[in-house]
Amino acid sequence: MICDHCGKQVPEAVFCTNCGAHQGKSAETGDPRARQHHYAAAPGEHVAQPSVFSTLLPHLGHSKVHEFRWAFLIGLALVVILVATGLVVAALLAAIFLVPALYLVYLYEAQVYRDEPALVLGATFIGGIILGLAVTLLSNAIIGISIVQSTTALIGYTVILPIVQLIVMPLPALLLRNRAGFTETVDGLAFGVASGLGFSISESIVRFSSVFANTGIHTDSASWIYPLVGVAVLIPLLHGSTSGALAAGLWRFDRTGRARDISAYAVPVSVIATIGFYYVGQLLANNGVSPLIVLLYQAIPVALLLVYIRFLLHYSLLEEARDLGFHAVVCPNCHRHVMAAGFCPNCGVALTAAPRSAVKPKPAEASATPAPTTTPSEGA
Amino acid sequence: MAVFCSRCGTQNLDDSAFCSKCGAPLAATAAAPPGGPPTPGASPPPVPAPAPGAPYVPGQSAYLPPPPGGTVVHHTSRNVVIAVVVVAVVVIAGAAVAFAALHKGTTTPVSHPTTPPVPTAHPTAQPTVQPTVQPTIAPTLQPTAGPTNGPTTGGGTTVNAGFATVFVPQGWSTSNAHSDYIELDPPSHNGLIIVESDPQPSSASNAGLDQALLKVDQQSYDPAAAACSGTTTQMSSLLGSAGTIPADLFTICENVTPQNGPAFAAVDAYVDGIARGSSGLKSAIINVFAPADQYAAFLNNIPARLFTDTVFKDAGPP
Repeated sequence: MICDHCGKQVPEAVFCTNCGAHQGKSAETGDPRARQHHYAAAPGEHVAQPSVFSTLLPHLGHSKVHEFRWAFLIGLALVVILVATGLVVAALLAAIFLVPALYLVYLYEAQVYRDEPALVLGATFIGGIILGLAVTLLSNAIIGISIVQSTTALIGYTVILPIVQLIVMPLPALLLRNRAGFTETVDGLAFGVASGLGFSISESIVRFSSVFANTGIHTDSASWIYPLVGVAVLIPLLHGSTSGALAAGLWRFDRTGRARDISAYAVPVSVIATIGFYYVGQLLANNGVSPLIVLLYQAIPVALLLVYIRFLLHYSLLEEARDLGFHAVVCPNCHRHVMAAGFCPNCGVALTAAPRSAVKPKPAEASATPAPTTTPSEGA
Repeated sequence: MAVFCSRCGTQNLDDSAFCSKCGAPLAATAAAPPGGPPTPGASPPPVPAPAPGAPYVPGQSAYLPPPPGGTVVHHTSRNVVIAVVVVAVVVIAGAAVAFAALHKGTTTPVSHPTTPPVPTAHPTAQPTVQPTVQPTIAPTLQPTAGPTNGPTTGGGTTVNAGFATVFVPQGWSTSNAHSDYIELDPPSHNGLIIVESDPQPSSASNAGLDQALLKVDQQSYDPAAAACSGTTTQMSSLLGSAGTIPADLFTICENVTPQNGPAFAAVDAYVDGIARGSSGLKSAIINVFAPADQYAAFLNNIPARLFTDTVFKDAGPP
């Protein structure tokens, strides 16, 4: 059939294997070419859905997302158990390492680093850790302890430092920008997130070093639950999202159309979200707002960042996956064995956001791939 | 005539479209291959297939039968993912507990003040005239350690803050000045003094004000904020333009975990009292805030005139 949207000859199916456009066989609404109801990395979700895992871990298939979600929830439960039993330092360290550990498993699982694990992990995670250590120690030395309502400390820690962090965090990832084989936006996103998470590890360790040096400063370990939620969830998500958004936005300068327009907002969106997170959050805390409300508020800029990343990634995937040729593949999202190019014809997932092992045919498999000659009766 | 699968060598019925064992299509193999059926395990003969990256050939279906043996989609099992994360968390937590146990007793405890600033000359009589030299908060402070007398001399300026005339020692700066609130920052930036006054209900008492201040600290900084262990609320006083204001000396220990920047233990000492003004009751508060490990040093370097020369306007005993 000829795709209505790209004009290419493609197999008859729900989605165009060339441009990913929805072919209008379901209740799709809106622009079928933009297909915002089918996020290119996880077609079961709308692009505007602020889902953490399908945004920051885009190479995971449908079922894998659930596994990582469960692993995260179990890790978070362990942190809560540790703090409930009074082991504040242990809970704090577990909280600091929970999301980065999960991300390392993801990088291995999806083989995002392809054939260069040492280079990628060294440049992103380790680079982020080193830069986080340097920036945080330096800022502590320059600004000193935040005397809560001191204007200098408030502006220093909630405006100037976050901007410096935004500049520094994606740098290790951007070092890989010109490497052959890592040319896609999804690579920039994954590397940027890894770099931001490495940064968050060392930042949090330095930030709570006084707690590690003295376990008894809190009279009630339960009071640590709010800082711990921030350390385990919000800070890694903020750093990972901003660093990922910046790296993804700056990864390619040859985008066209909506992908180019959206990528132009990577810097302002990251700056606004970060200052909104820290500055407004601290103002709320200084004015006696409950820590729970502050945490809930801070989830808003993080969610907005996630949505921004999804739009950037969605349109970038739609654009970048068009160059792929046909090959047989078991779709990592819907698990159908299909002939696909840039997109799965059955569910529409962009195969550039699929785990490397799922879309890269081994030589033996490629040579033995049977020629499809039949048309199945089932479609979507 | 039997049909042999070109991939795995399995013999299938001659009308089969797909291999009964591996699912490969059989159309490309019409009969037994020359030389008999292929040996299981041997390399299958090549079949015409689109090379990866080849353009689409019109007529090809998008859908293929299940791959032989299944292509590995679940590279790592769910249990492995969960186990890796759980083990990582447990190992990290275990290492932290072991580290804390090994270093127990070798770390320097946070220096919570056991003795908060105590006025040495609590006024026993209500002055009938504007006090000029009698301090209501004595400059002699007794912190945890260090010298017992803060500097009693030194220059400075008096700032009209609207609700009070506030003495600002030389080298100190003011910030966040409002009609009912002003901050004084020392040159060392190792602490902060806040002078403030707010309208209070007619039923207000010093004890109630203490609890309200504690609640604000608990909401803003540390839900576990509490009166420092070993301390009690003590009698003190502040200067009002209409007379001496009886006040409490209430010392709170808390831990500050700001949204960004280092976490630290802190002492928040309040000299607070209820005063009467022309429009009703109001609070009069001088708040000394410092990181716990710097509290003693900060306290000892607060010039006495900051207490003796700061006068709350339109305020007297309730």
